[in-house]
Amino acid sequence: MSFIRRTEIPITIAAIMTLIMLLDLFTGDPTLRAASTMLQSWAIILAGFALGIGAVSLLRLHTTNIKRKRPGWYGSVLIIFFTAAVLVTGLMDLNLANPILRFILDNMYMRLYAAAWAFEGIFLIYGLYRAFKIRNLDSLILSVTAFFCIIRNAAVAEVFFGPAAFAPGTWILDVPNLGGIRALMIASSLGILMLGLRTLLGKERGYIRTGG
Amino acid sequence: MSAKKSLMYRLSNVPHQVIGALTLIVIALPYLMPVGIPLKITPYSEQFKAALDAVPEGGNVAFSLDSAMGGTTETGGMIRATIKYFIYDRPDVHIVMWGMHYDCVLVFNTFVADVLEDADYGKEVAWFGYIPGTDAAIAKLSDDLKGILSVDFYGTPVAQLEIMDNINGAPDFDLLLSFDTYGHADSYVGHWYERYKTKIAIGMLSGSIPVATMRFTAGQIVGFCGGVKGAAELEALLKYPGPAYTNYDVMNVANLFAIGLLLFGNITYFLTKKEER
Repeated sequence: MSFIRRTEIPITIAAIMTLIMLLDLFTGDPTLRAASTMLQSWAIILAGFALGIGAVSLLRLHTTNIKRKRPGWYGSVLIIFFTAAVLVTGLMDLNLANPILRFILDNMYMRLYAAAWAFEGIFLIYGLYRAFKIRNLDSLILSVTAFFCIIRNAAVAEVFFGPAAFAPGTWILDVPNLGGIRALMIASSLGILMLGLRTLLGKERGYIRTGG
Repeated sequence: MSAKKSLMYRLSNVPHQVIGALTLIVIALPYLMPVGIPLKITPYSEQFKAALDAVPEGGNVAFSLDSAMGGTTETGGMIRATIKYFIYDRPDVHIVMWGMHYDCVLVFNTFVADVLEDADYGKEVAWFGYIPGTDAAIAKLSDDLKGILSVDFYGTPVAQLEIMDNINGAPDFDLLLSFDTYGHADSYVGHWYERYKTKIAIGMLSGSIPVATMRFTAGQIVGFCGGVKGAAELEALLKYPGPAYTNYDVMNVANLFAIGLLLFGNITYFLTKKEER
């Protein structure tokens, strides 16, 4: 096997990086802090490149769609056209003040973005009507919880039921919800810690495409 | 009997197009005929306001615009009210702004830029634009702020910005505000609070309130402001009414409609079941 294809090399590098970050976090040693800060700078630079890689991947995917005339290929033409338009007009004025760019951002991007979110809201409301039907104990708990949590957000409910209208929703959020979220966060943090430990020990190999 | 059953069945299976159309009408009504539902200020919004008030005279505030443009229907009002509060009511406070979401420049131009025209740029306020890298960038900002922010959004070297003279990282800020729709606030808690105990207040979507409540009760953040309701309350508390107050009416009516649908769906479902039996 070629030297550069050996999996031990990336595993060792990842283990050293993980160790530096962990030791910095738990010891606060100035030398380790300097090393960890430098690594973070590298990560930020890499993240900047990731944006570029994303753009290249997008262009590759959509040019292939157009070449092969895949279903909806005309949508790919629009994507490439607008990507180019935003890129060129954005580079012409880095303060995003170019009038063409402003038109695209204000009248297309922002409106469509808001519309997509609003569309989600309509389906949520439809979901309340269709999915929240009390068929068993689980759906009863779900529906009752939803009812009181929505009431809690509707200040107008106070007009009909007084301040007591908000008490059940507040209790649900402050007691069972809080306990559940805490358990979830602690469990996921322990999971991240285990992942770090597996990376440190070279047991985690998913990121180098060799499984494990 | 069968016609009756058929009607009940149809009422328990109303097509989504009809529900969608009704929702649109219900949402449009408060815009056409504002109801002016009285606002009840919750303790959480009061604590968020208290966190703003607690910034000492001449203090430094980090203002992180982490909202996607689509999320500004909820966070936009709180961003605008907060920046107005600092620029008009607390001009002594220094504001350093950046964004962890790539929409931050749009959010800045829409909700902040015109307010900053009344501030002394470079002395009272500085704007650094989008910073890629999310968690790594947030960690780096806490340790070595100038390592990332070497020039501002307009290309001015940081050495020429008077406001940045004594700011090098998280310990130099009296408060960090993150108006967030994507979970960046969690990274701030991890790197800014856990390491330096920086005071953090978060403005976010209503869906993030459960996590924020947990962080607040654990003492990791000093306040939070969630959703349209929180934004409207903050606008009222800071005395800068804006878009959230208008949306509050809509949200109330939409919530009542949602409750109505939930009850209607269940009533028709049980009546249909009864008929079937």
